Amino acid sequence: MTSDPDLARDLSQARLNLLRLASKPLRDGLSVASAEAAAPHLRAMLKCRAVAVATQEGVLLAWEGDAGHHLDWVIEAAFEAGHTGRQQVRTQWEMHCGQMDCPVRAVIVSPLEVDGNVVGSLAAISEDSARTGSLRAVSDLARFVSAQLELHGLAPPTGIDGFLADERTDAWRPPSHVAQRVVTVALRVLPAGSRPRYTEELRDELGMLGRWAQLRYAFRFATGSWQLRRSLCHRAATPARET
Amino acid sequence: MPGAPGPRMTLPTQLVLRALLAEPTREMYGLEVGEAAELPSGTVHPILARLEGCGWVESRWEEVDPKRAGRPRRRYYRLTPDGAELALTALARVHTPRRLVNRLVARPLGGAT
Repeated sequence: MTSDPDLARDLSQARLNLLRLASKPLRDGLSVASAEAAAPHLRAMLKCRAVAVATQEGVLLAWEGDAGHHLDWVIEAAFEAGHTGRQQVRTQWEMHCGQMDCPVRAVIVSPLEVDGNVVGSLAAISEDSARTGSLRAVSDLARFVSAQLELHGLAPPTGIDGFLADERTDAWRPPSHVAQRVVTVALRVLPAGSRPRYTEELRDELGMLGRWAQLRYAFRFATGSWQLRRSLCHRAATPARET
Repeated sequence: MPGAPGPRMTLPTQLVLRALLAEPTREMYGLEVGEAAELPSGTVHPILARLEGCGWVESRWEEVDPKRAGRPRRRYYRLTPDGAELALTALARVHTPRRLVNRLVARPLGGAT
């Protein structure tokens, strides 16, 4: 903590720089290469003894830092996080690493999710005990990593052919998690009675678009959602509930 | 809805009406209306809601079992008989030159109204 505004700004910029450095490789998807490239920056952000990135099955993709003798507990917790989708914590009392001077106080593992599915986990091997702040820090960073991984599948198609090919799909597919979330938030401004109708209508239409086109559709709809609200509110004889 | 005030004839509204008038008896869902009107996807629902509020357009759910179809029901729109007549009259009155329409459509529209 600091009261010096210049120092605070520098710290903030340093953190933003770390986020930027970590995000670049993660947008290539979850792999050994991307996890190894991002891990040093993730560790610098958490300021912990080590970080690990694992697959949903608990297979280790990257380990940055020391305290490697805690690997077994990290893998076990990563497997658990990958299958339950819930944050896992192992305290020093549970791990019994056998080293009297071991500085590790806790292993905190948060799941990484893409489109609502757990794809892996991020583990912090920490010298601090598992307090609320530490748990939240790992959880927040895992959400950031998840968001970057989610962007992997949403890279814009290149060239005009790519855009045209992405515009419509032959068959309906469930809309992407991101587009669906944008639309869900936008729908909140509509009168409550109209929301179920537009939820179903928009879900159908989004599912007929390619993933990149879904995002364009969702953001345009969000921009115009207040106009839609005005249109619905000004109806001369609005039914009590849309059918 | 006789007697209800008509919509403001903004350019996107004119484009949607022209698209619906091209085949007045054909039902189209929102995505198709947007494509036929050459408007960006995701921008036609405020217009359709306003036209529906004026009684120019009516909509209905597709009669399909979502579980069997493997997708949600579709919402279909078409002009009402009165709406088609009123739309023709209103479009004839506004007289937006086709050249201007083409020029405006060619560039991205900021909003749907």
